[in-house]
Amino acid sequence: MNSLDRIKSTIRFQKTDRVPVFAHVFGFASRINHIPLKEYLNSGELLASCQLEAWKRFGYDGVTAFADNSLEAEALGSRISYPGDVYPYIDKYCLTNIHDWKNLSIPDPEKDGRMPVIIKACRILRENVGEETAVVGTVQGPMTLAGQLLGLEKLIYCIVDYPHEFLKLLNFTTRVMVTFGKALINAGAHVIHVFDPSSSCSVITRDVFSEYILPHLKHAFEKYKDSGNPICWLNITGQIEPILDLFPETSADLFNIDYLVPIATAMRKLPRHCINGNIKPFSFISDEEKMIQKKAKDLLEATQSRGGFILSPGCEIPLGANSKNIDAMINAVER
Amino acid sequence: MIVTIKEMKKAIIAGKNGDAVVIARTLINSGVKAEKIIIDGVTKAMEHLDKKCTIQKFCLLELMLAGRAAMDVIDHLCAEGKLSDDTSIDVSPLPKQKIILGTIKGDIHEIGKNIFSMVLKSYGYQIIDMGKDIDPADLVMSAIDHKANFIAVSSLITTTIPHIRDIRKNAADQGYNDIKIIAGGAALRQSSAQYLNVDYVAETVFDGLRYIRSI
Repeated sequence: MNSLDRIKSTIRFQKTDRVPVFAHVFGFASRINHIPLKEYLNSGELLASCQLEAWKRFGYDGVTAFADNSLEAEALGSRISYPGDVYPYIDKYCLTNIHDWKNLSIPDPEKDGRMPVIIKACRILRENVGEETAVVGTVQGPMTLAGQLLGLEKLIYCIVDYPHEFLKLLNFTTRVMVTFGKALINAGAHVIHVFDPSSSCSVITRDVFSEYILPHLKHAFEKYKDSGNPICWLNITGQIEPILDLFPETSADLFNIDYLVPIATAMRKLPRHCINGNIKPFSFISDEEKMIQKKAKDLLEATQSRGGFILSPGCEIPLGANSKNIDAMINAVER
Repeated sequence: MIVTIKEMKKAIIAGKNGDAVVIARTLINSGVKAEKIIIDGVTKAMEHLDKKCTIQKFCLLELMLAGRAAMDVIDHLCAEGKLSDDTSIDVSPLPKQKIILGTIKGDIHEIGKNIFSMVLKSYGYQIIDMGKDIDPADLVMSAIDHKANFIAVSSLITTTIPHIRDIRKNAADQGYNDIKIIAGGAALRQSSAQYLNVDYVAETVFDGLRYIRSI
């Protein structure tokens, strides 16, 4: 059974040879290949080659066409800075007030910012892995991208002070995520991974999620399904327990569970949907291999009778992680 | 219309900053002391949020709106000359304690720090906010200059951890060994005080507040 079949079968709660593993290895792939992160984030060839090397090195079940969380915002005009050999941050938001979203245009994934870098990486990855393993394309979710355009602090006040404009900005950011996601599907992505940490209940309430975010996620996933039927993966890190029961309405196939939510709770609230998670990311820096292995084994045991489970960290493997800890997670799965 | 401090507290908790300020103004006009408005209204509202905001039930939106309402009331009282900027409201066990606050070098995320600042101010602490991307040595120098009791530092990303660890070393190099160092934020709260070489890792802003009040 190859990785892609393993993932598809797991999502359908069908029998597999082993539990699949998504390691959330993104920028860390540059570290193990001794490539400066900035170069990795700005070259489709380099990003793809590091992803392929990391995949071969660790043996998990997917490769990822993803640079950093500010990619879409940069393509829309936000200015980014690289503070060293770490991820860039936005040092000037392209919107000074929420009303100015009208001046923005939907970016062209083949031309604007570093979107072409990721499209190229996605094509190279698909050419190399074919149907053997999952090619994952990542896009920012509507709330997170809105925060990257205006600044999260301002955006949060706008939810209450200018709800109509907030809604219009979400309409716009959803159009961006649909456009970029479709371009990734056309470039060969098997999986569209929507990353929207600013939609967690660590940031907004269940009511705000339900009224504003949920319809936009649903719309985006429907558009993806109409454009090649990829596996749709929703990843809202942080506290999501109060909104887990709403997730099936998004029509996504797979839901990421961060370490703050016990896996038993996620299984109870999402009885018929595939989930992945949820080892604490920082453990990959600070813990010893035997601890990671124990955490992974505990998760595998807890989910064994249910199925519909992909082993992973709760969020991205940190840049300072110990490679042996990733091995320990993967080795916990019986092969 | 008769208004009460309790209603102002409710308005703050609900994040209704305009209503909270209107009620505060009415209370002042009817002879209520500014200090009483702060202690029985603003601080009590924060105490209510303290009980609500655990690591499992923390919501930035609710806390930011309530924090803005609390700060608007305090700013209004200051603007009306009812409360001077440096007035220390006697609600903390050790009023006039000073706290140096900053987002550590390599990180520019300030929301958590800003909320911590709002909450601490509403409890009467004196805050010296250094901003974002702050070198550990600058945090320590500021603490020495202001004779501060605490350095509170935040970060959303794990790559800043070496800088967090350097704060204690910098303080020791300057002979400033009594300063208490608190760390918070999404990345740091996954770690331990021992690993970060700090005195305390706060899971939430109120957890950090409780630690400060316990010292």
